[in-house]
Amino acid sequence: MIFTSGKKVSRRAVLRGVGVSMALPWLDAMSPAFARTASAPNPRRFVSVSWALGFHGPNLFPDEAGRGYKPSVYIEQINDLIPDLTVFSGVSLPGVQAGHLAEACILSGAPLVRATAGSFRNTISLDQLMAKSLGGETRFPSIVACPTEASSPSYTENGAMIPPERSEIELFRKLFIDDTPEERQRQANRLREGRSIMDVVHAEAKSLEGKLGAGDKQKLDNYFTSVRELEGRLAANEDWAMKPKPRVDAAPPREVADKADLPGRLRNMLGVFKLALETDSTRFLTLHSNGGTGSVLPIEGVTFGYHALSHHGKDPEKIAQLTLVEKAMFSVWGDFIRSLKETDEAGRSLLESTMVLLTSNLGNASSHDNENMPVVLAGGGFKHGQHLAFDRKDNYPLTNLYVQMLQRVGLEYRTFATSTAENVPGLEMA
Amino acid sequence: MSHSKFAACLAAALHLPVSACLFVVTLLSASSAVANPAAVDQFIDQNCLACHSSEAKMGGLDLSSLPLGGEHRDALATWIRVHDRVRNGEMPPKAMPRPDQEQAKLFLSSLKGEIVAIEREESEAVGRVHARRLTPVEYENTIHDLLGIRIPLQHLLPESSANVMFDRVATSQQISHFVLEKYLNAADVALDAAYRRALESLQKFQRTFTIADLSTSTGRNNRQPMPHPSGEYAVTWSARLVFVGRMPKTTVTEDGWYRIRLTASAVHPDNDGRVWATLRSGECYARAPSMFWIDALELTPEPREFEFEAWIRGNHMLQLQPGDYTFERGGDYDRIRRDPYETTFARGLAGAAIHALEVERVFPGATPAEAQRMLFGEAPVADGVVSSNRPREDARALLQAFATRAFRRPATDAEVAPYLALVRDKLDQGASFQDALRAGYRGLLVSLNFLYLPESPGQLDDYAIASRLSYLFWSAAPDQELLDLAGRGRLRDRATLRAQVARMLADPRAEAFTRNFTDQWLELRDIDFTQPDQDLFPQFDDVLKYSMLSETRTFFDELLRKDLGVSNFIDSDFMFLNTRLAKHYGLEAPPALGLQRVDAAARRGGVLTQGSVLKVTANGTNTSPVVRGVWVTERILGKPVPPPPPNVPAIEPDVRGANTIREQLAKHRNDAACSACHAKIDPPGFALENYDPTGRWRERYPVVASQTEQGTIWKDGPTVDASYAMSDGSEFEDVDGFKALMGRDREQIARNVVEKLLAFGTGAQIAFADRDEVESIVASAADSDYGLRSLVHGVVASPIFLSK
Repeated sequence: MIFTSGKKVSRRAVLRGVGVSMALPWLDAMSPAFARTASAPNPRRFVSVSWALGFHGPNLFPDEAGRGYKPSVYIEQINDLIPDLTVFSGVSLPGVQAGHLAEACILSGAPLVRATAGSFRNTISLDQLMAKSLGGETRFPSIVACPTEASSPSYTENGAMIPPERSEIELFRKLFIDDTPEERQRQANRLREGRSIMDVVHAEAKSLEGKLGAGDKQKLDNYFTSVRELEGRLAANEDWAMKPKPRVDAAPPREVADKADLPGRLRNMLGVFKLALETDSTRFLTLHSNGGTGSVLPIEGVTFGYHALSHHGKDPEKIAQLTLVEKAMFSVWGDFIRSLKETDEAGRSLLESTMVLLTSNLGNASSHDNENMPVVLAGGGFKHGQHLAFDRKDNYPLTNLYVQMLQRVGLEYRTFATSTAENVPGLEMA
Repeated sequence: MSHSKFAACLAAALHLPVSACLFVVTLLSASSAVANPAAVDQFIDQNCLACHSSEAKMGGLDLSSLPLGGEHRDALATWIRVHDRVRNGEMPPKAMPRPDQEQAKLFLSSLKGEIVAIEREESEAVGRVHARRLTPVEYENTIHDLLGIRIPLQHLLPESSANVMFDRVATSQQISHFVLEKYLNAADVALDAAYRRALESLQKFQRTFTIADLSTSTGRNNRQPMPHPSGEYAVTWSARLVFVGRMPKTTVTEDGWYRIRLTASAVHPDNDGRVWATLRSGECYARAPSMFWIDALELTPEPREFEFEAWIRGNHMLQLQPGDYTFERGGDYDRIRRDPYETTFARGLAGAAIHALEVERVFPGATPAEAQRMLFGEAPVADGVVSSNRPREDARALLQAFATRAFRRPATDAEVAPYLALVRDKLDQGASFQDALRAGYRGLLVSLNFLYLPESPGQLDDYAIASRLSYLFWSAAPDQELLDLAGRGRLRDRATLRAQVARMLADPRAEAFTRNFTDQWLELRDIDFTQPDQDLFPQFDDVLKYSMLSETRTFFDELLRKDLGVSNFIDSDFMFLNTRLAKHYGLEAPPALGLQRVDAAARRGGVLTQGSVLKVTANGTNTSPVVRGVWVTERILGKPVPPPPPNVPAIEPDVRGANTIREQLAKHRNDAACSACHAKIDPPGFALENYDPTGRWRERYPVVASQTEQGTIWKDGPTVDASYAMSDGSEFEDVDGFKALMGRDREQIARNVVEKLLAFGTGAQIAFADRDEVESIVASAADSDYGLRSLVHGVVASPIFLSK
C-alpha cells in the first residue's frame, strides 16, 4: 500500500484550532453562522450497510446492463432513486471462499478460505482505513453498529474486530444527549487520568516482555498497540468531553416492540445514522446485520424464519417468501438513501457527499456462495443510474471499487487488499 | 454461526495453498525429523498420488508437493487429516487396492513422529497457550471478589467470537483500543460501585405490599391488567397479554439487588396440581418491552413462600404471570380487566395468586467495613473521606496488596512502582488520598497482569496452577487457600491437587463450571438463537426453556458429583424431570416439587434426547439430520467435521411434503465427494428425527395444510423414519438402536470429554502432539468406566494442564 500524505495536519491541531465550529453540527438550521460555504467543500463520507444473508440474485440484478435498464424486483421498489445509484453484478472478493465466515472480509477484502480459517488474520477494513486518516475531525472517528449480534465487518489494523453498538437508543444517547456540566468535567478528568494510566500500564507491561514466549509476544504487541491507540483516543475524547453535543429535533428512537421485526430495528438504527451524518458527529458508519434470531419476520405472507428462507433450496414457495423479506430489507436501505437525498447540506443533498454501499458476504445464501456478491452503491458524487455488469463466471474484484472509494474520500491509496486496478471501468465522477 | 453445521464434505476442506517447493526438499529441511521421512514419501507415492497428484488433485488435494515443516502451519493441518484418514482406514478408499499393512504402519508412525516433533518444538519454546485473557464472565467474577461488589459487568464487555467452541481459547481472543476502552469503562463502573459501598451509607428500601397495592395502577398502560384482587390474594389469570400481572407499585427507583419474598399459590391447576408462573422485571410498557427474567415458580394449591435475589433496574416493576402455555390463555383482556373476580374465576382459567409480597434492597458482597478494608486498609474513614497521615507510604502498601490480589500472585515492587508513581503524582497535584489511590486501582484493572493470565513457557509455577484451577472450576480468581498453597509450593503435589479439586467442586462456586462448560460445550448458550414457530409449537414457553436448561445442567452435575461414566451422555437409565418437562415429554409427573431424578423413560436417557439439545440443534420450524448429525459428531464424538465445499446447495427440509429430507440426503450419499463425511454425520441426525425442534417425540412430520389470516395451519405429513446405518454398516431402527451402537465406543466419548475439558481449562485447543497424553488420561479413568469426575481429576493432574 502506498499512502502519500501531502496535506497531513495533526489531529490535535485541528481539534484545538477549530474545535468550536467542529463541535457544532454542519447542518443545524439554528446556527447558520457555521453553515458550509462554497469555498469549504462538504466533507466526504462513507456508510457501509451489509446484510449477512445476501439477496436472491435474480431479484436484484437487472437483466440489462448500462443505463436505462429495466429495474429488477428489488430495484423497482425504489424506482425514484435509480439515478442516484449504481448496481454492480459479477463482482466479488478475490480469494474469499468461506460462506458465513466471510462476514469478516466484507470490508477488509482479506482472502479467506474455510480450510485455513483457524489461522486467519484479518486486515484493516475500508471504513476503518478511512476513519484512521480522516476520522479525527469529528467527535466519533467512526460508528460501527450491529443490532443483532456482537459482530461487525469492521477491523483494526492488527485484525481485531470492532465491537459494534447494539442499541440505537444507546447510540442516540452517546451522540446527542448531554451530560450535566459536572458530569462532563468528571468525564474529562477521567479521560485525562486515563491517558496517564495508559502510560503506566504500558511501562509495567514492558517489563513482562522478556518473560513471555514468542507466542505471547504477538498478543503482547497487540496489547501495546491498543494501549497506545487508546491513549490517542482518550486525548481526542478529552477535548470533546467538554463541548456540548449537537442538538437534534428528532425524538430519540424507541425500542421496537416486536423483537422479530428486524427491518424495524435496522430502520431505527439508520435513522440515528442519518442524524449522525447531519450533525457531522462522524463521517464513517458501518451497519451490519445477520438474519436476526431465527424468528419469523412480521411480514404478511411470511411463515418461515429469515435464515431458513435464505436456504431456499430453489423451493418456489420459499423463494416467494424470501422475496417478501428481502424486499423489506432492501427498502430499509433504499429509504435511508432517500432520506439522505432529501436532506440539504449547504445547498446540496447530503447524499452527494456520502457514499452508501449495500452489500453482503454471500452471493447466494442457499449455497453459501461468496461469488457474485450483491453490490449497490449510492451517492458520493459519482455518475450513477447504471448497471455495471461484469462476468458472473469470472468475477471482477470488488476491492478495485474500494480503492476508488478511498480515493473518493481524498486518500491517495493505489491499492487495497486484493485490488488489481484503481477504479472500476464505467464508474465516473459526476 | 449455525452455518458451520451445514452439509459437509471432507474433500473440499482439504483445499490448500500449494507450495512451490518440492515435497522431498521440504522433508529434508524439516529441522527435527525423528523418523525416516522416506517412509512417508514412499507410501504417498505408491498409495495416494494416483488421485492426489498435481494433475488429478482429487478433492482439491495435491500431495505431490505438500510441505511438511514448522513454517507451513496450514499444510500441517492437512497432514494431520491425511494421518487420521489413513489410520481410520478411510483412505485409500475401499474401491482402491489396500495398502500393505506394514508399510501403512511405518507410514503412520513416521508421519506421526514428524508432526509431533514439529509441534513440540514450538510448544517447548513458547507453550501451547498463548496469553489468554479473562472472558467477560471471568472478568466479572474476578472484579466482584476483588472489590467486594456484585453489580453486573459482563454486558459492558464485547462478547467473544462465536466461531470457536470455548471463549477462553486464546487464539480466538482479540484486543484493540476499542476493547481496551471498554475495559477501562468497566473498571470505572466497578470502582464507582466499590467506592460507594465503602464510603456512602447504603440506601435502604423495604416495602411490604398489600393486596390492594398489587392491583393498583399508576397511570399508563391501562389495558394490561394487574393481578385481580380477591380479599386475601390477587390473581393473575393465564392470558395472551405480554404485561399481564404487572405490579406498578413495585417499581424501584434505583438499579440494585433486591430480595423478593413472595407467598403464592396455584388457581385451577392441571391434573398434576401445578401452575407454573414466571417472575420478571421490566417497565411493562409497549415502548420499552424488554422483560428481565428472575425465576420460574412452581405453584401449588397450598400457598408456599418463595425468596429470590434479583438485580432490578431502576424504573422497573415486578410482574408475575402464569407461564405454562399448555393452559388456555384468555385473549379478551377487556373482560379480564372489567369483570368482577367471581365471574373470571368461574371461567376456570389457570391463575397465579399472590398472598404476600415484600421487596427489600440488599447489598450482596462485602459489608461497608470490609469494602473499606479492601480499598483503604486501616486508614480512618469519616463522612466519606479517607484520611492518611502518610499518604505516600500508605499508598505503597495499599497498591502492593491490591496488585497482589489482582495479579493472583505476589506483585513485585517493580511492577507496582509505575502505579505508585501515578498515585503520588496525583497527590502532588493536590488530589485527595482516595482519589489519588483510585487512579492507581484503575490502572491495575486494565493492566496486562490483571486482564491476562500470563504464564511462562514450560512447567507452570504454583500461582499459575492456582489460577488455572480456579478459573476452570469457579470462573473466578483463586481464593486464599489456593494462594496459600501456591505460596508454599504445594500445588504440584498430586494428593494436594486432588484434595483441592474435591474442595473446589464441593463449593457452591463450582456451579460456574457446570454452567459455563455446558453452555459452550453443548451450545446451550444459543438456546435463544431461534424461536420455535408459534403456529407449530404454541406450547413452547420460557418455563419450559428454563426447565430444559436446568435438566441438562443438573444431569451434567449428577455425572460429575457421582463420577458416573461419560457413556451416560449417550444414554442413561435415569433422567431429571419436573412437572413442566413431564407434560412436554408426555411423561408422568414426578412425585415431588422441582427437578427430580427418576428412571429414564423410553427414548429419553442421555443428553442427546434432552429438550435443550434438541432445541439448539433445530431451527425453530423444522429439523435437519445434517445439523444435528454435525452437532453430535463434533460435540459428543469429538470428530471435527469440515465445512461443505462451495457450490453445494444447502439441504432443506421440505414442508410441502413432496420429498423428505431422507430422499434429498440420499443424493449426497451416492456422491463420492459428499459421502465420506455424510456417512458419519447423517446417522446420528436420522436417529434424532423423531424429535421435533422443541424436543417432543413425533411419529409424523408436520406439513402446511393451509395459510389463513391467523397463521399457518399444519397437519400430519409423512411418517418419520429414523432408521439408518452407521458408517461401518451396522444398522439401527430408531434412536434406541442408535444409542446402543454409539454407546459402544466409550473410549472415544471419554477422549472427547477430556479434549474439551483441556481446551476449556487451559485456553488452547488440543494439538496432535497432545494425543498421547490425552490417551493416558483416558486410560487412567478406565477403572471408573470413564467416570466424569475421574476424567476431571485426570485432566487436572496431566502435564498438559500443568504446563503452559
